[in-house]
Amino acid sequence: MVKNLLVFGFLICLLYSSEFGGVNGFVNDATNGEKLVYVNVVIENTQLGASTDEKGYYFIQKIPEGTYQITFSYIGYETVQKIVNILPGKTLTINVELNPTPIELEKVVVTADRERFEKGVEVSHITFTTQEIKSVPTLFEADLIKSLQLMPGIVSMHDLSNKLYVRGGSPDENLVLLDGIIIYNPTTHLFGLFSTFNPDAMSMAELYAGGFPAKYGDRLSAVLDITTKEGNSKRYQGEVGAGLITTKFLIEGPIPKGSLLFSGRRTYFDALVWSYSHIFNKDVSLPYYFYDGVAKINYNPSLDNRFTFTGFGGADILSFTEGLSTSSEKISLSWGNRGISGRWRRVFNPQIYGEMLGVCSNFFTHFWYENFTDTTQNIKLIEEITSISAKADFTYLLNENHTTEFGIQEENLKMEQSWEVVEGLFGPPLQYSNLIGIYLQDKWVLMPPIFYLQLGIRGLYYNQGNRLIYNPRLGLKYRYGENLAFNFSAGKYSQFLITLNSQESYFSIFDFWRPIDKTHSPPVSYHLIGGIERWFGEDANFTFETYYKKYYNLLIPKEEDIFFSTPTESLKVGTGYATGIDLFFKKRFKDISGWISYSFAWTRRNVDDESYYPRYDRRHNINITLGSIIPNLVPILKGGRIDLHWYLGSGLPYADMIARYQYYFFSDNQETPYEWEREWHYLSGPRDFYRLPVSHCLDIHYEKGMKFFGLAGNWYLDIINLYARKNIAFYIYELYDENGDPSEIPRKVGYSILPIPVPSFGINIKF
Amino acid sequence: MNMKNGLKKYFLILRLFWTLAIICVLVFCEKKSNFEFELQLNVVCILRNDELYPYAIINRAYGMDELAEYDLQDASVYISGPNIVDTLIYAFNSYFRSTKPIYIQAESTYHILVQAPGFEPVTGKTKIPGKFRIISPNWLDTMSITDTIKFTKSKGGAIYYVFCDAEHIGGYAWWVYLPGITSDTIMNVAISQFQEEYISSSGFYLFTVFVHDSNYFNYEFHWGSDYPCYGIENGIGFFGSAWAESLKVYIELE
Repeated sequence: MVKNLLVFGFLICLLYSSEFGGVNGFVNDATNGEKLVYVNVVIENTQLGASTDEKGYYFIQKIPEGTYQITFSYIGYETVQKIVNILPGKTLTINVELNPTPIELEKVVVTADRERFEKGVEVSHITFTTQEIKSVPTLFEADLIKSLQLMPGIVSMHDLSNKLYVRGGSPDENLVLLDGIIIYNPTTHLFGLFSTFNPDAMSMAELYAGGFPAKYGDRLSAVLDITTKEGNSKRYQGEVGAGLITTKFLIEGPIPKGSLLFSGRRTYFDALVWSYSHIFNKDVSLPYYFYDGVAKINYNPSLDNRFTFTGFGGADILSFTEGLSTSSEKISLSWGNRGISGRWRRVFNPQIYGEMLGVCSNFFTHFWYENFTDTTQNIKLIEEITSISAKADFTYLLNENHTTEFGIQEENLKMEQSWEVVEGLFGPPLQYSNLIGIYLQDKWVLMPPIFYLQLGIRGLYYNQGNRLIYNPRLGLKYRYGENLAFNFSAGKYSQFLITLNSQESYFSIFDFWRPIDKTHSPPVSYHLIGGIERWFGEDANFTFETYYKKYYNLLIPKEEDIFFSTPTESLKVGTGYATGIDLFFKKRFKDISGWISYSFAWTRRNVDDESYYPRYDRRHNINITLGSIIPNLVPILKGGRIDLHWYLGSGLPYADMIARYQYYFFSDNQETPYEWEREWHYLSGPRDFYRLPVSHCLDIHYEKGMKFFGLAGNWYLDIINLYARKNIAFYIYELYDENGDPSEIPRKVGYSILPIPVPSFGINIKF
Repeated sequence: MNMKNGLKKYFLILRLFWTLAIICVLVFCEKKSNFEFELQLNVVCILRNDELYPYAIINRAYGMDELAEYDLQDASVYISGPNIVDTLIYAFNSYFRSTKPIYIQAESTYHILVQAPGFEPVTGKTKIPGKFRIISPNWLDTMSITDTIKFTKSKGGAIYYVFCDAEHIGGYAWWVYLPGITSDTIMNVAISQFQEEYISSSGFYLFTVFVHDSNYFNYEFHWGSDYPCYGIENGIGFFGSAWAESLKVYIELE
């Protein structure tokens, strides 16, 4: 091993002692410090050049001694040219910041998509920017998860669902990261209706819907990697906004050798109700609010070193005294995510740079019952999952066609469940687990720019049961001509955390996570993905992907465990598969752009002797999105931007009642033994055997710039369910007819979550 | 040029056709199917040593859109066991009752057979819980609200009900229950467990302890299962049994 390292070091030294020199560095957006991916870096009058990678890093080597002009160009940004003097055996570090040109953002996004098509290997890879998220019509608040649900392969359970069911995978099979912080429950706000991510603080969200590379792991289905904004390193600026339910702010600006960013949002209805109750002396209150915030500091002590610290926190608080037997009682419930991360990026030498990351992440659920007159009645319930992890990722740029990534990660998990009463603290012992992952990933352009190969392997050691598991990954890309590419990806994926509550419920707020114990084998999935991507010029692209995902060792909670957890020993071991086709077509005209996505999906689970379609198995899913600048011909609305979204989905499975019978029981008020009472009980058919009706819906978003005391800003209006479609979410059998009179035959009544058009609006002001 | 444009149009139409054809195939591959469910008899019956004329409630499950107006008067209900073969006769409103006294034996197994035209016959069996003994207090003892009734466990008993009949004030009564799954050999019921409104004055109270078998216990507590079928086959409901012992005491309240 030592010998190999010496040889490796010698070779690198040999390379840099030659007659060639090099140039390396990072390229960022000058206004906000964001990394710029796939920027073209060209040494004029030579054949030498490179593109920045996913971290915004470039490295051009083997440059003969001399003076050159280097050009950094990227559509949507002003081209920057630098004169450099290359010396033999030396590598010059030039970090560059590009200023955006006043072209529309859409064009920049197109360019990034095109560059990914030409240089990336990953399949099923979707990126979203803040602007794209905000352009999607939503109820009350722009939301990342709602935006992602428009993409192919992703299913929502109902009109307000904010969970990600990706290609037949349940939400607990997704790895959700915010600047490296694992978010265990990403959709906790307002009882699960909103995600915990404030789009204003986000720079970019990347979703790998399957076949994700070896640097990611420990989940079965998908990865959602969210990067927060870097913070403006040039000047202080900010933004405040108010929507129907929240107010929010963002402040960013420079610090010596770096930048900082703070953002936060909070619901304000409780404060309004509180004010109203005090001004008008009314006895009303709203016992609920939520908040979240992000703080980020970047510090660049030298060209080769960069430190980033991110803090994230959010919680939902429900606290009330009304409805309790005495006014001296209080019930409080709070839940939320919080975490901190520290990242150190270092360029060790021009060919190797790395990122070291330390993360602490926590999800908590606290319940208090307080009795102010009799404190012996007080009880406090705590359920928490905490992970502390350390990670190191390295990128080795062997040459312009060959990049190797490798890294190591250790994650320690602590699960706490306890209840505190006057007699003391009780509960099961704390549960600990430890997971170590090592990965190696090699991207090789075998026939530039035609044939790309990406091989990877992730080795995992899990201390519960001393399990050693290998997850191999493969990615291939073959470009046929300038505008057509064929992709293939395969891989094995393991997961060591499970949730104890059903993932098929409509309204669950958060999940109860547990590490896999030594008596169970970790769940495993295998992905096979094949795809075709075709570009039509620079403004339109079409993607076709087909996939097959096979599951083993799934640990499935009982169907009825929605809010409470199944004991680990009651989990059922199952298998399953998901297969389907995803189509995506995106087209941009001058002022109009939009996309159409279609998914055909087939998901099946097998538990014991039962085989069923899980409740999120939507066979057909169509999303059409259209955005346009309103032309000047249209009065009032002119100058604004309108976005329309229409979706059509085939019915989701549900379990219907097939018969009823009289259930007999003893009355609570019986005066002699064995006085029977009876009531109708229903017999359910096979699990999720029936299908709800087809659902469809049209949403609209209008946004227009404005001036507010000289400050730039915008206002927006969203209308959800414009034509009042009643999409059935579930059925209830009622023993009353339409007039409320008793009925001998139960009446099947379908309920819609959002049966009427719901408008919402808000404003944002920049300063 | 015209030829070229014509060809272009032709290929465009061909593409559209195939796209539509594929979409149609995908749309119609959603299989619509119906689950065939055979409606079954609904049987509720408890054999008890304190009920000499046992009865059974017999009706049936109904479809969700079916009017529940049928009474299965033509059903046949047979009870058999040690030295017993009896036919229960339709009495009223789904009740079938024995016409002669049946003296069941503790820890013995009894069978039920229910037949009705158009339905699968329902068969079932139950094992009567073992006898038990009230240890304290004794019959007609005087107790206070802080005292406890103690009795031995019944073999095969899954749940105990203690029924309190306040004879002196006109038959008010209440009951508490105890799970049978316990390592204790002696069962205790504190008098204070009965609600104050039922033991509200000094007087004579009749306590009856019922112990039930697991068939009844599972039927009553079948959380998570919407298809209750305990101690019977081919039907819904249960065939259970109970053993009862009584105790009359005088409760003196301060």
